Amino acid sequence: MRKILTFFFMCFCTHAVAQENILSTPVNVSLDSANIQTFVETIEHQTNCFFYYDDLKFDSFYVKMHVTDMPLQQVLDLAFKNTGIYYSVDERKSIFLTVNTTIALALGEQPPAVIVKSKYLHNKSNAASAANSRSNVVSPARVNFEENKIYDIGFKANEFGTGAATVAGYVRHNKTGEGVSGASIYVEGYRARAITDQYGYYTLTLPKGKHILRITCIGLTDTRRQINLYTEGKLIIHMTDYITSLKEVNIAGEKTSNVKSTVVGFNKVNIKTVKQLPTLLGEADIVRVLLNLPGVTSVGEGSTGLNVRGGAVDQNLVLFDGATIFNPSHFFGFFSGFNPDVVKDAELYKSSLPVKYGSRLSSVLEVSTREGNQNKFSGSGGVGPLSGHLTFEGPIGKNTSFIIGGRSTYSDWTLNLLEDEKYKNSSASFYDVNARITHTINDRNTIYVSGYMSGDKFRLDGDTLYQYGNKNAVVKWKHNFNNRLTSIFTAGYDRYDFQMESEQQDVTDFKFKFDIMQYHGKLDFTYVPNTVHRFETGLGAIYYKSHPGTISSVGKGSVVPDKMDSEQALDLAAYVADNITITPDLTLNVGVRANYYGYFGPRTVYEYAPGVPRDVRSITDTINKTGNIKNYIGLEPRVSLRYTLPDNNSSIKVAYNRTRQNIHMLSNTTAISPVDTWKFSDDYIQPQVGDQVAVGYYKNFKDNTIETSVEAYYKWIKHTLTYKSGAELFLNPHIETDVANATGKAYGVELLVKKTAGKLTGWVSYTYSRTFVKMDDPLVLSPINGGDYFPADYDKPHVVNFISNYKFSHRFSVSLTANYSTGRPITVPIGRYYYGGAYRMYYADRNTERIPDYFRTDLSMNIEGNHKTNKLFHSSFTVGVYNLTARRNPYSVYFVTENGKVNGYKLSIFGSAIPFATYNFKF
Amino acid sequence: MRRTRRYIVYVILALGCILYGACKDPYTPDLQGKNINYLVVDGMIVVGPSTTTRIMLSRASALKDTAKMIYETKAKVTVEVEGGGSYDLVESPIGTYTASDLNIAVDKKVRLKIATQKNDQYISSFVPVRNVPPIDTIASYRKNDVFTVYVNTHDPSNSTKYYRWTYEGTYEYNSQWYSRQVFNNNDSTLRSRPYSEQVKLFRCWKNLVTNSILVASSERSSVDQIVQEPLQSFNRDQIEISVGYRILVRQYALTSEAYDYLNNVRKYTEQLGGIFDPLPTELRGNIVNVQNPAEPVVGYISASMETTKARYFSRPSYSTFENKCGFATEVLDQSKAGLALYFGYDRGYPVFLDPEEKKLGVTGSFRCLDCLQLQTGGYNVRPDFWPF
Repeated sequence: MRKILTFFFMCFCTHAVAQENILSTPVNVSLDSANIQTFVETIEHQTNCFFYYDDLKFDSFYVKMHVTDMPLQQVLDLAFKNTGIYYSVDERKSIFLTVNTTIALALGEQPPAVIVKSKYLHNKSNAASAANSRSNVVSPARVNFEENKIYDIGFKANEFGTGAATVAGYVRHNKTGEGVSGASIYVEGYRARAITDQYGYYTLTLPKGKHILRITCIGLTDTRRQINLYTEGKLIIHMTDYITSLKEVNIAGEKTSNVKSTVVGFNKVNIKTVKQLPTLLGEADIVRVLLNLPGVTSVGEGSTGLNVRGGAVDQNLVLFDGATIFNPSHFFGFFSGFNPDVVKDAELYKSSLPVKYGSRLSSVLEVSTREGNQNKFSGSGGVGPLSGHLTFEGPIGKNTSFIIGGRSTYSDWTLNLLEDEKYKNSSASFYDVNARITHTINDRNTIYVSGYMSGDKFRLDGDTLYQYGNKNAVVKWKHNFNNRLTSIFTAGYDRYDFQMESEQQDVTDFKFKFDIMQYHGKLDFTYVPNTVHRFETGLGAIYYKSHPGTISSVGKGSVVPDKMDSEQALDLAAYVADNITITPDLTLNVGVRANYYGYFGPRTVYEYAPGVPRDVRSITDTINKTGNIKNYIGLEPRVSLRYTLPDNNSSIKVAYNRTRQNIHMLSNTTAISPVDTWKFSDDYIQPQVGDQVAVGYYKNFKDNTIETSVEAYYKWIKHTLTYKSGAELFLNPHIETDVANATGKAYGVELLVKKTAGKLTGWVSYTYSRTFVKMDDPLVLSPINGGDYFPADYDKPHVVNFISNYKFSHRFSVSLTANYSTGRPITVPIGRYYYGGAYRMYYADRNTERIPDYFRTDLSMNIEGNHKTNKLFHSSFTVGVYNLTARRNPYSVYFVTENGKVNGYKLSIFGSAIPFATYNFKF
Repeated sequence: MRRTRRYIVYVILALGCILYGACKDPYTPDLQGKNINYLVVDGMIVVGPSTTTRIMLSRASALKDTAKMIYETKAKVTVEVEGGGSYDLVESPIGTYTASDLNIAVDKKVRLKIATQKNDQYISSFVPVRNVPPIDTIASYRKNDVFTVYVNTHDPSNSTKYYRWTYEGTYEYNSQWYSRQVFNNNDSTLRSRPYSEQVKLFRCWKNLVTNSILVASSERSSVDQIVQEPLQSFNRDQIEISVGYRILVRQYALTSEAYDYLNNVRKYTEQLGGIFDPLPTELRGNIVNVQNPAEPVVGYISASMETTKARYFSRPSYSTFENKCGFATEVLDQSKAGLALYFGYDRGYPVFLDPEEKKLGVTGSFRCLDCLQLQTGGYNVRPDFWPF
């Protein structure tokens, strides 16, 4: 509201003379489709009157007027003709504008203050009723007022007319002004619905007329808007935090889209969920929570590398605000590179990969950061046993907001505390920095600039120094042509560097490094012509370049410098998709993505004798090639279908997806390590192709607060890479001699029960899944396991996850999580032999046995300070225990010859229960 | 370079384990295994004067076999030179086939032929006889209180590149006390033991043989030089370095393929296995069964000249070895009756509790006075090469 309405109470009498004087003042107006603010400012500049009005009620008022020296009264009459707007003038030269009612400013009469009965007033929650009087946030009372106001969308007319019109706009958080992603907007009496995108933008096409929109989003209070839809128009919707009422649970509508969307195999994790769950060493980690979702596993405790539905770790496209993170882990996989202070949420697509994404086979993990508080400058931070973090955010000027966050470890210091000399000479540290600026040029154009940088460094026993890090920058420009057509242009640069340096002060000293980088550009359009179709189309281009390995000598070193040829490749894609609402109950999503991949020189290419196994002896020629060396073209069809069952609370979905992957990570170890390099598809190494069919049944209970789902999938993977026995991947210029083509298959069933609201929230999931690989390359003479299918390293048939949080009060909650999984497969010896002075193990078939099963349970308690809004600092504590039962979960099992004897060992990373405590604050 | 992944495992252990308690537990799963009896050919063709070629033939066995080695005996083993000439090997001792002073020129190609008792024919690929440079140094370093013997070598002609070593180690160890005196039950007196007998009881030696695969390469270096390649390590409290240690190192040259094979055997069977280690797989050497080429045969035959070097190390200053074989108490009553009570009929044995040998003590077990009983496999004849 432009000026406080309570000002009314100060006005007691009217004065005829004043009214006459002010209304007869001549004014000049020359405006074309000006809004109310421009209009009143034009008049206020020429007279000494003041207008009072509720600008929300005037948001669809536009005036076109060109007059000179016309008395104010005539100007107002002309402007408000047929609009239902009335004006009143008091003796202080204040002009009150009202809609649909007149106010008589006679003695003793009070103007109608807008008081709406609010359910929040009955709610004894401090946070809700405190109404943030210090800042200019939209108060809950105002939100409630917004619920009861009728918004006129478009150019108001006497009649609604026929046909459909589109309303679009942003759903924003009332406190921070940030866009709310994944909010669901549906219309009473219709099955039409919209979901906000990651910026909070929605577009909804409806028949013209009166509608009630219901807006729901997990963690936010449900709200509604009453609209009169005349023509196309905008509506900005503010939502408030959902303050759990411990006495009543008042949830209606649909909390998530699992039943209604066409997407199969989708999970979203909100950072709020992550922060209340137990952590490892106090580092809240969104990737570790993703590992508790059905269909997502990792090879072991020290690895945040995800295996999604039987896919390898390099088959996940990890996007951080649109930037590809090549190595999203710190400390060799103990922690993910995503700072929980900056992250908003993570979305994981396991089956229906959106057609706008390509370049990886198994999944898309999209981690979004927050836009930053648009209303006031604020910050947050915290300290844990391993690292500290600090984040600042706030507005810059009127249309810009920023967020910058960083984390850094003090583990060097921790290592120094250890007694052993070995650790005193060691160091290990990491950091990461995020920055993001959101600039709204106008209501049609928004620019997002984000940057990410991470670094890891460690040295063991003063010997070799290892360093690696990511660098990413992305610019996005979102342009709304109109309510029906939206575009996003993205351009960015991603890079990963690895380096190790030996410092033994002798001739073996060396420095090894490699890097991979990509430039990417993307243009995406969304077009919603009517309620039936929703088109998505776009173009994308990625230019990859890598230096797979360079070795040089340092200090006294005498290593022969060796530099492997750089690799470069171009990946172009175009896609189109249509989401067709055939009937309100039946939705079909059809899309196709066309992919061109070109491998470019200059590069040395090895030629091999045809039909014989490729190895160093079968090289027939070495050619220096420039320009285009090899091309691959492929189509990726993606289809999904949803049918809502008559009870309207359940649905069935079917999906088919094909994906292609042109770059491959070379890793012949169980877990990926930062040492693993990337290889681009070339003459010998073909792009991987994956096909997946999936079906799902979804049903919600208790006003959608309990979601259940069953999904089943079958997957075929072609041209995945496996490694020959004793493969050498380090500085190997002809990788094709050491790798072999393989075929994979994976299938599984995933069951999930999730409770999204109430005192108790969380989920239970059970997954049965199998993943197999076979080395069926005709050019391999003695393939692993004789060319038969064998279980992949990450094949874990049974997985049970339990995640829960119970809120005892607004300030105290307890989380308990538990995980069980079958042990991963390992290769065990089948016999022994005496060689080189010792008994040794004879290995034959791969992955025939399993390590013992995994079980872990964690507990945490979250204690928050009081919620008084006017406190400068809000602090919270989390204490908990990781691995509560102190079970020694084996991480690997191995057999070694020691002093002539074969000994078996199991190695567990965490040998006991690990307590942690963190302190976090906000201001 | 090859140690990279290993260090990563160490870091994980350092972070997760050492901070919160040790996490390596013995694990003996009930592995079925298979009844494999593949032929194992261990050894290499060694060429040159005063060298011995030793090829040991045995059979691989099931995992659970606790039985001793299954030797392949009474086989006919021959070294064959390309373009004519062959040398028969003689079985001595059982399962080991030897030939001495093979006179074959460097770079000639040789192969090994085996005809087993059952007349299965095995043959290795032809491998060149490789020349080998002399060993530069055998020395030791101390790192984190571990005593490590290393070798340095180099080839000025830059042609060797791949090296293998074996060693014969000998260490001296002593009993806890000198047995200076003998108790005579007849007259309840203590008499001096003859000095030579005292020494025989006190000083013992024991031999160590290579039980790990020691290979190194300088393929990535511009100079053909191996620096401080560790051969053997002892913790500071180990008995092997309590008195003195002597090592004789034999150096051989390998081909690149032989190096790869041996290095992989080492990787898969000796080195700490972790999540960042390569997955173990079946390894194929260069020996095949002529009738059945698909039959797995363990081993890789290579041929080389030999150079040797020996070095003696005295007890390092940081050794913390203490002989904790037993304890002794002071003899307070040195009358005849008292001595009889202490020492009569092997109830106890006289020792001296102080370096000045004034304070008489008694210990209960003769094992602590006789080094032969202290460790199995020891001997009390001073080897010729021992410096004192």
